[in-house]
Amino acid sequence: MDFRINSLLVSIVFLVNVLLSGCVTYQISKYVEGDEVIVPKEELVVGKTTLEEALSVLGAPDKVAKVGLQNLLVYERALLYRNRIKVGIPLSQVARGSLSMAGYGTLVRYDSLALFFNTEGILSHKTFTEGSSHPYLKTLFSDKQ
Amino acid sequence: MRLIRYIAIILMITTLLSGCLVIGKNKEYQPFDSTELGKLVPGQTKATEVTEIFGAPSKVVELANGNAYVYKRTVTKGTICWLVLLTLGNAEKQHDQLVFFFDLEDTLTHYGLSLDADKAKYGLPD
Repeated sequence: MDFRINSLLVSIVFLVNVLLSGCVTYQISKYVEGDEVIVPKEELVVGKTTLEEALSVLGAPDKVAKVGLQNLLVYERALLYRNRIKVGIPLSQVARGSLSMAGYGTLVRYDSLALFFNTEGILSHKTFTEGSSHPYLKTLFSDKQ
Repeated sequence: MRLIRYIAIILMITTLLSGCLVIGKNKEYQPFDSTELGKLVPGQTKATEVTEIFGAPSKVVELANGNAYVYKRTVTKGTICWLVLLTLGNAEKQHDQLVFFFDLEDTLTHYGLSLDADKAKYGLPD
């Protein structure tokens, strides 16, 4: 009976020692770049909206580029989420080396609004992708690329 | 026995809640003053006048019918909280951006302004 209690006590002490020595750590990280992308559907009409109107509604774009004979304006927000778990057992006190395992998952999602303007400054095409609407775990472990 | 249990619980709680909090701020500074925009007249102001007022742009982009001058400054605010078993990290980067559009004769046609740098905030991941 005493032996069982002592074994249990030793196990608990060992477990607490391992846990509290920083051998098991869980990290949650988040990184956001850019402001929320709001798409004013009524103000952005293909074939009608001008560059001036788009700039007054949306402000300065995050990216500007030349695409063939058109100009591309991109409004973008990036959201990064990372979860990481690390488990390690320091054996250096009793043996050479140590045992550790770590796993992590990082997901970067983009909300992007792309507006194409012709050389007359009229909106010729628009597209919006809302990456942030996809849930973290489901998207991370999905087989879809 | 009860006293030992209380002490053990208190020790456990204080150990688990002990940690460290770090906050930090990064700035990529570009000294443009958006109140100077009133001096500009689309259709008249030249690119050289814009650079005299706002300084050298952060980036120049060639467009299908001219060029775009981009002025950008960013603010990043980060927070890290270390607990014994859990680490929480959060960073938010926001920017002020001013984009001028010029035609092939380097005359200002349009400009756009976004002031979001003040929206960067400290916090923990939600």
